[in-house]
Amino acid sequence: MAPWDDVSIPNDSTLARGVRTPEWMTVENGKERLNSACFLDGVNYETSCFVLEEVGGIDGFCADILPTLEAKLGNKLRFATITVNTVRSTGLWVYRKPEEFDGNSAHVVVCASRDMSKSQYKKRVRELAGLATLQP
Amino acid sequence: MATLASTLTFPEVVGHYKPIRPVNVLFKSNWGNTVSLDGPSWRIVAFSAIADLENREPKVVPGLGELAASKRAADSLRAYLLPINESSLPFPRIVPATGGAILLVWSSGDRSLEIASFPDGEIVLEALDHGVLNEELSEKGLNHAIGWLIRG
Repeated sequence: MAPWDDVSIPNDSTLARGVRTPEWMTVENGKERLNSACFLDGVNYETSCFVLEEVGGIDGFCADILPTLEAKLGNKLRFATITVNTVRSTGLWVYRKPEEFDGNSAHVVVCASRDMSKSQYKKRVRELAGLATLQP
Repeated sequence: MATLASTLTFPEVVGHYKPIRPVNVLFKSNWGNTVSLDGPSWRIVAFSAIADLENREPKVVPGLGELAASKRAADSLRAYLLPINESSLPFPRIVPATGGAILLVWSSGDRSLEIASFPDGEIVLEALDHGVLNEELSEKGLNHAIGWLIRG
């Protein structure tokens, strides 16, 4: 759990999250959407994301970050986007953790405050999954 | 050689042999039911899926997270599901989250149940109607939630 919400990350920034397929996706009535597992973390309540504006936008993310994640995972990934403002509107925080991705300062975690219960956290990540956009 | 043949046929035993149970009664095991092989079909599928996640090689992917389900989360989820004998439940979807957690989803029409099992053994149940949380039902527990789900 991160110590605070990092307000140096502006609300209008967009975050990108690698999405495992098909596990973190649900198809309903022919429509794809994310499920809660995409943003759920069992230990630290921290989910890795990248600030799109700091990695060259979607093009930069797809050219540099996504292939790195896929190479480390050994599988293809899709990705989802969500604004920082939307993350904060659900009651979750955003916090930089460059040390968890080769010192890259664009690496952040979407996280919960220390006093949040598991049921509160689960509710928030489900809401977040419903608000994020799964990219084609 | 004659001694060996004599040993193999046990001539002195055969004449006094009494079977431990009547030979014309079909064998019936005294063992209890094996849960993984006996029970509603959704549970067999669910336990198999949980075992698959549990047996995955632990892997930390920087930028994505730790991707193996924890043993405690798996054990806790199995124990949570074990008392449920309702056979008309649909097959659940079971997927890994990061940090060792497991998510189980049961869907029936516009209703669904989401069960998150955490690595410390804690379970969170959510009953969702059209994607909206029904807090009262979620707090009543799994039996109530399943009744609500299958009445659909």
